[in-house]
Amino acid sequence: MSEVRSIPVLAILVESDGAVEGDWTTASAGIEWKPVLWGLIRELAGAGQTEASYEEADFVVAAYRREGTAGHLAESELSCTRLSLRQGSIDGLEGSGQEVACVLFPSLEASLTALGKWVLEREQIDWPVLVVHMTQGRIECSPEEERKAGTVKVACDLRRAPSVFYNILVTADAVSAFPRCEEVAENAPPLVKTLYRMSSPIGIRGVELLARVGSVGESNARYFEAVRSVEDSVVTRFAGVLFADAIKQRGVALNECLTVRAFLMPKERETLDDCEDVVSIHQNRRRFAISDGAGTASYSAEWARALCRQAMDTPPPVFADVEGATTEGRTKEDEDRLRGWWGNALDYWRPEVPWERLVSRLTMVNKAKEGSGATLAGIEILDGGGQEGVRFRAWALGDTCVIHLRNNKVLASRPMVRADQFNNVPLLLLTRPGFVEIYLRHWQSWESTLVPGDILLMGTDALSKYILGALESGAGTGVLAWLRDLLCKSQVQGWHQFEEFVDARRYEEQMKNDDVAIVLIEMKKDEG
Amino acid sequence: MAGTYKQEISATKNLPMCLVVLLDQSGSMAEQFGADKRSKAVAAARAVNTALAEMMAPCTKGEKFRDYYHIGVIGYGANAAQDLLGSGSAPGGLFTPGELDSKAGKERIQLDEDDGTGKLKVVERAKWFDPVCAGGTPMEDAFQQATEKLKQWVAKYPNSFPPILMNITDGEANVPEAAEAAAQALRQISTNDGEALLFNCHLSATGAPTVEYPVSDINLPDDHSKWLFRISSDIPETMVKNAQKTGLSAVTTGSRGFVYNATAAKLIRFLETGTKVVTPGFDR
Repeated sequence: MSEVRSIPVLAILVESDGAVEGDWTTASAGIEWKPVLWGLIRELAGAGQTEASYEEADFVVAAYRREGTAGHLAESELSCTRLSLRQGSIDGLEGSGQEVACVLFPSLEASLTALGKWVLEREQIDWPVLVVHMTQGRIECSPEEERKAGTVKVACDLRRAPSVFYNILVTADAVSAFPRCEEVAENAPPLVKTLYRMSSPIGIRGVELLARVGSVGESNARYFEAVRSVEDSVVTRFAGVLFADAIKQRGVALNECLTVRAFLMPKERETLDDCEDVVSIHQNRRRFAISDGAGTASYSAEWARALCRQAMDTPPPVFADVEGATTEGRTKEDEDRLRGWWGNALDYWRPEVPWERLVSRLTMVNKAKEGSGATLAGIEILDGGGQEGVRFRAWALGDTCVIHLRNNKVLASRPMVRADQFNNVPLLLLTRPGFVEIYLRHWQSWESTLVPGDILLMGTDALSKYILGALESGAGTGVLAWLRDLLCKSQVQGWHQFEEFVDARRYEEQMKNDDVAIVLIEMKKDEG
Repeated sequence: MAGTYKQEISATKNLPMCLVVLLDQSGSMAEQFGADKRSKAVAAARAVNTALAEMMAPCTKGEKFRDYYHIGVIGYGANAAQDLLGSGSAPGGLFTPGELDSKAGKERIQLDEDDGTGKLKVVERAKWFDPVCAGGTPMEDAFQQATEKLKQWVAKYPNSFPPILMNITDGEANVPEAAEAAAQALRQISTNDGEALLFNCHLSATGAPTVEYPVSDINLPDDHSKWLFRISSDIPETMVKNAQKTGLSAVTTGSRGFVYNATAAKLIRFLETGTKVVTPGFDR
């Protein structure tokens, strides 16, 4: 078993009222959150004790409150405390003076911005990142806060660390725990709807995890609890179960013979908050997906995220491998399976649209009702692999491409093979019903093998078109050198390289100004 | 008309497009619109309100607006020429999409379709102004006012796609010579990408055959139609292909932006030459 150290990350965001004492903020009337922090620390120390367990964990604690009250200046950067989790060191830590650093922010939005930035700058994150947010409800319920939470999730996804955003509302009003969309639909106050949308969907795995702590949640419900006091929340036990499960998943995770990198860059002059390309990497690092949301529609990023989320939960059905558009090899059962899969993705998307905020704005409502569209491509590694090769399965609909490079040439590329096949009207998966037959006709589904030295690349249209064009016209050396560079550098070092290259290509007008998302997988050559 | 007409419409690059509708609100607009049961004024107001809503669609993204268009509507009738929407913050008092959205009212429209229960379908549509018709046709005032607005606008956005003006009228101007001179002055206003485009649509009460986007005035029936032809700009070549793609097959190379004896349906298509043919991500 390899000796990779795994260091879980727990981020705690808490609404606070109190004055500041040293690094702590005192508990406000209503939220006693220090016990939650210590509960989480103890759970992590106990998690996975039978197999390899965690030696350390990173804690990032941010408190936020409205500006204007007394206290020290809000810092712009989070502070991370790495705690040793060996049982002996935990006992007596509490109250020992070796405390977990806490930083105060003027708003939830500011703390989320800092958290997103912190995630992107970390060299190693490959465990679920658990974000626990405790509030009494004095957040703004603004689109900005929701988007910032979304950006944190994007950052975590990119860094191959699926995040769980767990919101706890401390309130006297009754709201069911782990609610489904319908339960927060009609009459829930805007605060509840915002917190609901900020909470991660439970997903199939989550249902099992919650069952282990005695709670019931459905796969398309959310990690959101409303409690009278934080002691009533199951979050500490849930954390223990989540991280123990992560250790088990690691056992079946990707063989070390593959190197994986993922990068995401918004359009020029835009930020990651606006980006409508989504990259998702499964916790076990065997499944990858990219979705490119339509720029002209509303809530396309949300749809792209829903499709990727669905692909991580359940890969799309496998169909007969037929190139190009055809109904050959596609059956009625295939159509039903695809419709079912698409319907589950829709269940992740529908609750993301803040209908309650749009209701009086006719133009916004009409635009939202038109629905969204997005491309989808994905890869799943099928076996542990040896030096003979690793088998994989891939799928694609639209102009997000999966390109297989061998010996500096394109071995295979789908759905597009040549740069001139890209246009402004790619096929998209729509939120509107009635198009499954068309998707099925064009859906690409195939299997192949990676051998040592191969590079498998999945990229959205602007980048794919550029890469295919460069390799076609014999100008591929620069591109190949860049890709290899990204694969030898670390994820964080590679980031700047990635941005510089894309910026230069955009400037020279060789690449369209569009969001860029890429997943790179290389099968290492045997160094022996 | 001189120009390249290639510039893209982009919010992030600060290259919005200027679009102004000039609407005849004279007394004769109260007449029935050919075979349509509505008056010309009612049909024209609905068509313009629909065009405004359709312009808003690409600008709307979630809960925000992208500044692709700056929009104005000038009505001319009894009270000379006036802004029908009020004054916005863009140069010349034009409106940004966000401002237009906040001014939107609603009206209930009865369609000609069945709603499934035997009644005619009733839908809610956005509305920015009501039909009004009285008095004469001070078209010259409308052109002059538009010229003033455009001068201010192009000074702020010299690199944008040239402004497009869409004039909807059912009759002759009060003072045709003055109106013609004012139209020519209007069409001289330009950005670096070309001169402003003035397109005209004439509404028919008689049901006489429509002439659409003619290349020459040979087939035009009378002096008035030839006069309108004279003051209409050519549709630039860059727009011709896009126009055909949106279904305006009558538009060809050399077409003028001019429709004579339009029906309500042709009026709606005419407005699309401004609202749908030049769009963000416009293919050059």
